[in-house]
Amino acid sequence: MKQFRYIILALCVAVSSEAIAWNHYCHKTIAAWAESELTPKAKKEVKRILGGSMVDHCWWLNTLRKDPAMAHTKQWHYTQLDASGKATTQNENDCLVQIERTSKILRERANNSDSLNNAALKTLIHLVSDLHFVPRVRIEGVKRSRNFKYQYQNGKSKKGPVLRTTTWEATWRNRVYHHTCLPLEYYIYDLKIQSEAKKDAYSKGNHRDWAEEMGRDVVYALSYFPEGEIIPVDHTCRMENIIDKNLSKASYRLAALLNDIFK
Amino acid sequence: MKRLLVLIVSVAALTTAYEARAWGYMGHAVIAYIADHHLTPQAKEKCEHYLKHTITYYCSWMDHWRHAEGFEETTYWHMDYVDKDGISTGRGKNGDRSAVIQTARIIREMKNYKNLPDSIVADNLKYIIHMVGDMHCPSHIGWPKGAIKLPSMYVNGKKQGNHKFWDSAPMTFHPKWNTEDYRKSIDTYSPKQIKKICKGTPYSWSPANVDACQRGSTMWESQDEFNNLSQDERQAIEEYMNEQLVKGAYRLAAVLNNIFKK
Repeated sequence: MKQFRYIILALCVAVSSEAIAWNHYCHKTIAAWAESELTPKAKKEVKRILGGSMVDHCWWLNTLRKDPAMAHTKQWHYTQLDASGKATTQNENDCLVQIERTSKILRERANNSDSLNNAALKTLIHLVSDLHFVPRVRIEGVKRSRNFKYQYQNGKSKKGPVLRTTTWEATWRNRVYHHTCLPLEYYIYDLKIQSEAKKDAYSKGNHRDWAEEMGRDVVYALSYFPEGEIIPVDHTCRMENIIDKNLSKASYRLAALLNDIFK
Repeated sequence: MKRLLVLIVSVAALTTAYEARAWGYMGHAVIAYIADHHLTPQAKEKCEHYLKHTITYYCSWMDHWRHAEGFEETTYWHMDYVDKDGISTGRGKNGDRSAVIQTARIIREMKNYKNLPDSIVADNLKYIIHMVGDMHCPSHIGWPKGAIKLPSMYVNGKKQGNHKFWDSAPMTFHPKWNTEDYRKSIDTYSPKQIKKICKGTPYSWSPANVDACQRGSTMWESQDEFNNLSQDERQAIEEYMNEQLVKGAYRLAAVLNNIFKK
C-alpha cells in the first residue's frame, strides 16, 4: 500500500516552483552526469526500472514530502553527524539510513514489485545528491550547521557599508543560481575540466565516508562565517568552489553506487 | 512562524541576488557562451587551462567580486565614460578607469602571457570576458550629468531605470530561454560579417557603442509600460539588444583568439 502511495503521489504533486528551480538544476546536473557514467548494464537496468532517464525522476522525492502523510520524509533529505563528525546515525529518517535501505531494496530487486524498485531508485538518486549539499549535513552540537541568519557587506555607499541579510541555506542556493541559464551538458562539461582527473579518487568509499567528508566541508565553510560578524562578500563567493567540487563528487559517486548495485 | 520567517528571508535574498545580476548574468552568459563557440581550438584549450573552467563560468566574476576587499577599484571598470559629445574620455568617477581603457591595457599585457604567472593570466581573462560584454551593453556608457535623457521603463507595472531595463532585457524578452536558445537565435552572422564586426580595437569599437546607446535611448518614451509597447516597438528593441549581444560575443572571441594565436 505504501508503495502504491508513492506512485499516486508522484503523479499528483505539482512541479516545483521557480524559487527552488536552482535546486532542481543541481539535481538534474548530478543525475545527467551520473547517467553518462553508468556502465551499459547499469544504464539498461536504470532505464527499465524508471521507464525513462534519471534526469526526469531526480526531483521526485521533493514532491513526495509535500503530502502531509509523507511529512516524515522531509528528514530524509538531511543527515546528522555525531559531535566528532562521525557518520554513525541509525535514525531511520536520516539520509544515510535511507540510502542504505534503498540500496538494499535495489540489490534485492528481483524479489520486489516494480513500483517498489521504482520508488527506491528515485529516492536513492535524490538522496545521494542531497548528501553533497552543505546545508543538508548537520553536526551534533554545531547549531550553526542547521541554518542561521547573517549580515554581509556588499560594497559601500555615502552613508557607509551596504549591509544585506541572508541565510546560510540561501547562500548555497544563490551561488548556483547564476549557472542555471546554461544547458546542462555545457555545465557538466565545464565542471569536468577540473574534476575528470579526480574521478577515481572521488568515487572511493561509501556513503558514510562521504558524509564525514561533507562534515569537514561544513566546518571549513562555517569558518568563513564567524558568528556575530559582518561577513565580507567574497566569503560567500568562495563557497562556489565547494559547490563545484561536491557536484562532481555526487555525480561520480552516484554512478559508482549504481554501477555496483546493478553489476 | 520561525520557519516562515526564514523562508521569507531566503526567498527575498534569492530574488535580490537574481535582480542584481539580471543582464548581469544572462546577458554576460549569452555573450561568453556564443564567444566560446567561436574560439579556435587553441584559444579554447588555453582559456580552459588557465581558468580551469569555460569562459562562460567566469562571465560575471567581476560583478561578484567588485565589492570585495582589494577589488574596489574594479567597480569603475564596467563602463565606458564619455563627454557630452559622446567622445570616450576614459575618465571614470575616480580617475583614468573604464572598460575600454582596462580592456586595451590587459590585451597589451596578455601579448606576453607566457611570461606572466598563471594566476595573473587567469584574472586577466576574467576581466576581459566581463568587460568586453559590458562595453556592448547600452546602459554601460557613462555620460556627464544631463548630457542625455535615458528613459525609464515599467515592466509588469514595476519601474525600471534605463540601466536596469537594459541589464535585465535578455531575461525580460525570454525568461525561459537558456544560453543555447539565444545562440541558436542570434548567432547567425556569416564569417564575412563576423570579420567586419571584429575589426578594430576596444578604442575603435567605442564610438559605435556610444551611438548604439543614443539610439537605444530613443526607442521608447520615458515611463512606457513594456507590455503596452506595440509588437513592432518590442521587436525593434529586441533586435537592437541581440545585435549588441552578438557583437560583444564575436569581439570577445576575436580578442581571445588573437591573444592565444601563438
